[in-house]
Amino acid sequence: MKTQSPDSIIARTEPGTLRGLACVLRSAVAVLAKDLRCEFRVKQAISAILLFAVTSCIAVSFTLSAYGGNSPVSATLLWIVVYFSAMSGLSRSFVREEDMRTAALLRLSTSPGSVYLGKLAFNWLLVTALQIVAVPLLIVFLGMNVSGWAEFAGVMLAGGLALSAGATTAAAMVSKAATKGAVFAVICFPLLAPALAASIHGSSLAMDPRAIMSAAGDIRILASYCGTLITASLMLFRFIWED
Amino acid sequence: MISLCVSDLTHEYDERLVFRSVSLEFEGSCLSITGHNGSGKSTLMRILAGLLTPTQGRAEFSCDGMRVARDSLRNMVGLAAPDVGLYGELSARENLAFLSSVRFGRIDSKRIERTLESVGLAERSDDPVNELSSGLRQRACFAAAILHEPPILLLDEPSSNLDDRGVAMLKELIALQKERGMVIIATNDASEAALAQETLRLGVAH
Repeated sequence: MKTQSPDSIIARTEPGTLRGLACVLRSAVAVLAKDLRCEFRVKQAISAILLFAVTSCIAVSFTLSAYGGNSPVSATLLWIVVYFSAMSGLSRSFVREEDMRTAALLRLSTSPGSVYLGKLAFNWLLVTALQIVAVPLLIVFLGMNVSGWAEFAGVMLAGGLALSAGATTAAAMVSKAATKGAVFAVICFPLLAPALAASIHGSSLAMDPRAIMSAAGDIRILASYCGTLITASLMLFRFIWED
Repeated sequence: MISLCVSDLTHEYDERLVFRSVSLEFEGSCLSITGHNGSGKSTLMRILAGLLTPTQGRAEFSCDGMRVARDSLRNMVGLAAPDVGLYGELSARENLAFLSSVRFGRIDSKRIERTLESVGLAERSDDPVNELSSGLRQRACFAAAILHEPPILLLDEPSSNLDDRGVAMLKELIALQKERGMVIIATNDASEAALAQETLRLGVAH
């Protein structure tokens, strides 16, 4: 029986090389595909998120439909719905791994960077699905107007990524805690407050036909926030994930 | 040749001492770890697999005289233990396909088939793991541990859910692993411990 020598193994997984980066990305795609497959079978996170989104959109429309034309109010309501709906499901990706005792299997099989990137991509897809449902509902129920669709889409994508990046890191931190739900919300809010503020401001500008300023500045802020948070998370994630 | 060096290993959970100053040098193909419940067998297995950092001391594997770094342990070690679960909503084949993707960057179907057959799970490989009996689930865990043909295999209470045929399969698996490299078995079963060249007995922690 042929055994692998440590030399060949170290060469295959060596970080900091293009080959090492390709390995990390391939493994991240595998983690994403596995999470999507599991989610399609149990529909836990997506059900929680979409149920919360639909319920809150309808609840908001009962009393606040008169404010649909007011872009700051509409933008704030939109992001409140997106933020709290996302919080109801985004922690599941890591919490489930700990609850089902599969976290050890993942730790034994792939690098922390692959796990983080795979979970981040999964959470971003969940937030995007949430936005695809919540935005049309608010347009219909609240009479929300969007004047600059390209900028609005840019804010949604960047804001969604920021939300996912913060929530992924926070979910990994709380996954071993006894009171996961409460701790997750407590950690997420201060971490995500700057991104939430920029998302609301950018969305408001993209909705307002009389706006003098462009939402491009907010998109740049969100992109910088995502870049910083994802880089820092990739560097620190192994200390959260291992042990 | 693979060797294991454990020196002055101590571990505590919060302030509860699990074991203290465990030392061992082993160069061979099969080591067993025995001890009563709570003596730290599973904790020691997690430390050896690189899943847990000991409070004090070191546990290191060497291969042909080269120390195996912690980052490389992932490729060198396979662990089958009660606290290492599989994805219950996926089948055993899908679990192995996922592990193949993260380990090799592709789904190696031939290797997956070979592994499923070696643990006697080929016929039930498409059933969700949640729907398998505890014995078949145990076999699926063995498959996950040996898929990458690791030079070091760690088995924690391996025969706990197995029937006679399962135990026979396990003995074949251990014999094969002895040829491949090293197998470490944490057990209280005398017949399993007898397969080892050396036994480490963990005592009562005070």
